[in-house]
Amino acid sequence: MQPQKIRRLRIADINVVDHPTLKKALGGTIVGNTMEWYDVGVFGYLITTMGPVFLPEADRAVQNLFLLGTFGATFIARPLGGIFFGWLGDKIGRQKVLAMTLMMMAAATFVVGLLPGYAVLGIWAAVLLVVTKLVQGFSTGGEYSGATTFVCEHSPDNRRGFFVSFLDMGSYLGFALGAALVSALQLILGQPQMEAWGWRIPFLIAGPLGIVAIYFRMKIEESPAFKATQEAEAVAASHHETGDDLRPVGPVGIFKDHWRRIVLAMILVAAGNTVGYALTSYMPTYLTTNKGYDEIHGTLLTVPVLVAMSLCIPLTGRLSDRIGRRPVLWIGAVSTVVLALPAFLLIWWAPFPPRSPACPWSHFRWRSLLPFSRRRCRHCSPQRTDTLPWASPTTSRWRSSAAPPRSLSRPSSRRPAMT
Amino acid sequence: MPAFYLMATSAVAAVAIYFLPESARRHLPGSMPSVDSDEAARELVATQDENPLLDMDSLPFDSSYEAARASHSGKPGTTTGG
Repeated sequence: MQPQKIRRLRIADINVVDHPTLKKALGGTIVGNTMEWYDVGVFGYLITTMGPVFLPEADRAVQNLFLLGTFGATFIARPLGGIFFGWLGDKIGRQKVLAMTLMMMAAATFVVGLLPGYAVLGIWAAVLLVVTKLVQGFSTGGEYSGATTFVCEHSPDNRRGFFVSFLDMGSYLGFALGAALVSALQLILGQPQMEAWGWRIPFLIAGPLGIVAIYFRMKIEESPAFKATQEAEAVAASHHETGDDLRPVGPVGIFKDHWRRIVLAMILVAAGNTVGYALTSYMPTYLTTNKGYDEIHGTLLTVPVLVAMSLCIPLTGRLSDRIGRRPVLWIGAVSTVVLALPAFLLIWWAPFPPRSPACPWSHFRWRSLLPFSRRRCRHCSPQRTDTLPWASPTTSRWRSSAAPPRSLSRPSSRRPAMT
Repeated sequence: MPAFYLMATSAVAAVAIYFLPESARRHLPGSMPSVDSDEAARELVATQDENPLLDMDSLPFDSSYEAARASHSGKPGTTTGG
């Protein structure tokens, strides 16, 4: 390369955001992202109910297979999906890939609703379940990083944090929607009906939901930044001497070029997700095993927190545009360090203050009084308020601010291949 | 106690934030600036020399981009050849 001329920025260089296009892109991405995480949430919350259908206690091989599959879906299929779709998105375009991940997700989820159980297929039922779970993990990997990149590239620079934060709001709302639906069905149908056929409903609903989401997503346009890069590449390819430098490099090359930023992004996302999963996945379990709530109430107590939190996320996104990403991230990190312990202590300590006699608060009696869970819940309502202050200030800040760093670490046409 | 896991990952993240460049209100590295309105675009061009948020080095002023623009607008461009 010979030395570059000093260039001046011209008006024609600058991308002026077309607001109707931005809105359409944002809407199409959020709807899909919400749907995607609805699927993840439904699977997570239903797995205990589906357990007996696919994974009989007696068959250890099946149990191990499933554990391995779940592990593989999260820790292998998801990053692989991120790498694969990231690469593909840089090559053929974000819009096509985003439609593709959504179709995969909707199809995989819908198929779960049709799967025959262990009684019909034996171990093959569990194999099929694991396969759908792997497909889900693979598409989620592409979906999340793809959607973030896409909205980033569509947004005006001074409000990027705000627009991208809607994606996280969508994810959590989707998760909450899945959890709420599962709980509602459990309350209405009861456990035996749920095990017999009720568990299929949320999965089957994912089919039509997915078609609606895919319709919105097909209407969105390719991002301006991608179009510009692709045009540049097309021209470069016709000029042989420059063509080589500009072709998208493989994942290894990306990591070599940008490893510092990728590692930073991974650390931030890991921290954000640890707090996020503490609420979405750990809290229901904690409420069930340590606090004596039954599963439905463990979940139902988490849903309002999820909703409140997701509504706060755009506010923090906006804040990050005003005061900067780093201050917002600092607030999140520091408040987690300071507040995590008091918050958990509050939740742990909650049932000990004396309550009305109608409320059985000893652990031992709680277990024996499971059918009265609904009443117990009403009496022990302070629990709810204890969970809120813990979850809202720290997690919402974190999750929303976990998204902007992705944009940071995103080099022009190549996104970091991490989820 | 899961609180300690949260505290640990957040503490590590706090260190990572120290090394993180600020990205709010700045253009994406490798992409041209993206603004809300035509006025904002004009203002950005007018103030490009004193605007601290504009990083000329990470704008895609490379030969291929120029070539693309040139062929796109049909003008013989300012291609530097590469």
